[in-house]
Amino acid sequence: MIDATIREARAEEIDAILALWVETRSGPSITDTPEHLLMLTETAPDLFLVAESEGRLVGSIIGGWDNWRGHIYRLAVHPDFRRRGLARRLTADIESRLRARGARRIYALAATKQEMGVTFWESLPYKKSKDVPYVRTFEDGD
Amino acid sequence: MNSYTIREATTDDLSGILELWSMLDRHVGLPDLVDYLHTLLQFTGELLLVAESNGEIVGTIIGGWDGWRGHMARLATHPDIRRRGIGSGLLREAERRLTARGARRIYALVDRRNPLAAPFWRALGYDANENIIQYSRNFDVIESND
Repeated sequence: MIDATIREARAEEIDAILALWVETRSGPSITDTPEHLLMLTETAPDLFLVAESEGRLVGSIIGGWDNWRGHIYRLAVHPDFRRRGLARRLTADIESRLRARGARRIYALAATKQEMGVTFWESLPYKKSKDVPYVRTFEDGD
Repeated sequence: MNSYTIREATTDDLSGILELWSMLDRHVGLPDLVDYLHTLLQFTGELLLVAESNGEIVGTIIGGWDGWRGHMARLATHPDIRRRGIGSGLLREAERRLTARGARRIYALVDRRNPLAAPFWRALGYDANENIIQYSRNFDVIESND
């Protein structure tokens, strides 16, 4: 196992997190902005986690709790730090935090362009949804 | 035609909501427990909406907001009074409330077995996202309903 710390993200790390997501080809989406990430560190700081190793920010995960279901987004690990159990540790940590909040069912979004993501979720006790995700994006001011 | 109103749910509506959901053919992820609805009412009651007609609950929607994405859940209308705009009215009101809170992307899981579902969501501005697979995991196994 790699020597890494998993902890809550800090507001001053937002640029590093955005840079990590470029590296891991996570997203991008309309909310990949410093403003949205800052909002997340303020509204649910305990559900926005990063992995740090050798002084570098090498992983991330966002947990969502909407009082109905749990959600997992942006599970990302830097390519140089993969296959060492970091994604599993990030997931296990966010799962226990979501369960502590009251989540009984957790949804995870995996991008099909990232083969790693699909393989990862299928290696855990997650089931592929029978339903189709539909999405609507609201431009600012829309 | 009966008129209807869309409003926030109250504790008094919960049995009517569960009754409506029990009439629907849908994928069941978890059993519906009144406790789950109490949690919603307690923390985000303004995002559990109902349509009421003649004193009955005839439609529901749950807007989920977790700080990163919005989610629409349990969009339901009574089988006897469909095609009257109740579903779109519920969806638009939930959208309004979610975007006011800061949501910029809203997801909905659409049942591919229902031929009316995809056209409904497309007409309201939603697109199937083929680049995403949604996985789910259930935690506590609930043995009884009481």
